[in-house]
Amino acid sequence: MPGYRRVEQVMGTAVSLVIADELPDPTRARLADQVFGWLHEVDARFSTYQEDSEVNRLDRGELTGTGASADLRAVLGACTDLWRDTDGYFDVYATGRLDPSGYVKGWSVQVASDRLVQAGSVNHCLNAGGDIRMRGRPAPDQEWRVGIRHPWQVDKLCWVLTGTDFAVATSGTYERGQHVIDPHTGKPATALRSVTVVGPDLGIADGYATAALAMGLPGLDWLARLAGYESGVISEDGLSFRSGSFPVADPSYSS
Amino acid sequence: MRRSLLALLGTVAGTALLVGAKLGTPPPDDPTAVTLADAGAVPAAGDPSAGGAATPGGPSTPAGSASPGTSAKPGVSTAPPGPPGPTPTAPGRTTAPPPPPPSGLKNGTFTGSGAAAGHYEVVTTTITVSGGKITVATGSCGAASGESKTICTRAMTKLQPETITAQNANVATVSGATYTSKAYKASLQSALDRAKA
Repeated sequence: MPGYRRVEQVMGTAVSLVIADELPDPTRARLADQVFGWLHEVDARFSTYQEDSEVNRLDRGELTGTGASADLRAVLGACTDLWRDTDGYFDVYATGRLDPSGYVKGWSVQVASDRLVQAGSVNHCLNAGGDIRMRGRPAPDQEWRVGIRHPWQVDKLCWVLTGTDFAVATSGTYERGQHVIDPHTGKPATALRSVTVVGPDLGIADGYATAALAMGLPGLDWLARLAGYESGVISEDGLSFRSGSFPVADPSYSS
Repeated sequence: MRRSLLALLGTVAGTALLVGAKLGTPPPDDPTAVTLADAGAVPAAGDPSAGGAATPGGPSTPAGSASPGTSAKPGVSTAPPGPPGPTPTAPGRTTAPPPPPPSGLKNGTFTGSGAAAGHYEVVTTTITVSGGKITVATGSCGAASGESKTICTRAMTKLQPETITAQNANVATVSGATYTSKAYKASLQSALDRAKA
């Protein structure tokens, strides 16, 4: 049975879902409805582009900390943890206003994947604009294979990762320009071209990848000391670095 | 404390990167070659041609050729002192030295030490040059001690520099920097979604 696939535009990007469980198609369609319903809800509540979002109302002072929803409080709490764990390089105020977007997308995809598991889908892959949470297998005898985009060639890969249960987040300067600001200098980060972080939680992996990009070269050492999260980095001068357990596929194998 | 440590370790990463970069594509007249020498590059023991080799701007004498000033003079019958190597040429004739490698890098093995940064000093890197290209680069945390050595060792062994290669492979999905809805249409992920729909 081929996987059930759906792509929708949400959160300013394209989100691709594959449900590989052998479930009836109406069931898989209903699960997909729930995933995209949740992601659209998150967009409405947390986007800085939506005038009336909770985030914008909190930023304007129309919402107090105690009046914020449990989800928003959880997001801000996690962002505070990331700020501390990244020596301030992950900073929701890096642009001068409250903007937790760097965490929200990964977090919302992680939540969607967790809910899919609870609802009976243990084999799926959810990719939101390049940030991925996957579970199980695409087919009983295969692992998920995740390509990491080559930072200079849009149609090429520089690594292929394999596994059955992990999150992959990549932060880079090649899609939307040098948009990551070093919060300590206020200037764009330019030394690293692409930072990929792999681990159990997509929100945290995304935050780590963004923070390391902001750190520049010292981010290599910072990433090397992380527990539970593996990394692959490509610098602006074309060197690549990867941690020892970065789950790269055996290059001789291609199913 | 943590941040200052980060900043200091940045020197370590920079040192490793400096050498690694030349592994990838050694550009002609690589200015970092001089930088490395300035940073204290010293020839490894056992390299007899060491003397002027690491001098920036010095004569680019390939290792193994006769050293300047040691060529045989007409009328002098004794072999000139000097390192073992090509035998002295006959009086009146000089052997043209091999052309310098295009990169300006001298063949041999060289060790550079990273600049000391407080007591968090640092990494030594050793490179082997052959045919004007760096063929081997290794790093160690020799001078570091205590906590800094632990961290340095972990960083050096955990993150391995390598040269990136573009590859195509059968994958289910693609991770990359976040694309816009518009950029998605031209992406590999979009092609995968269409191909497997």
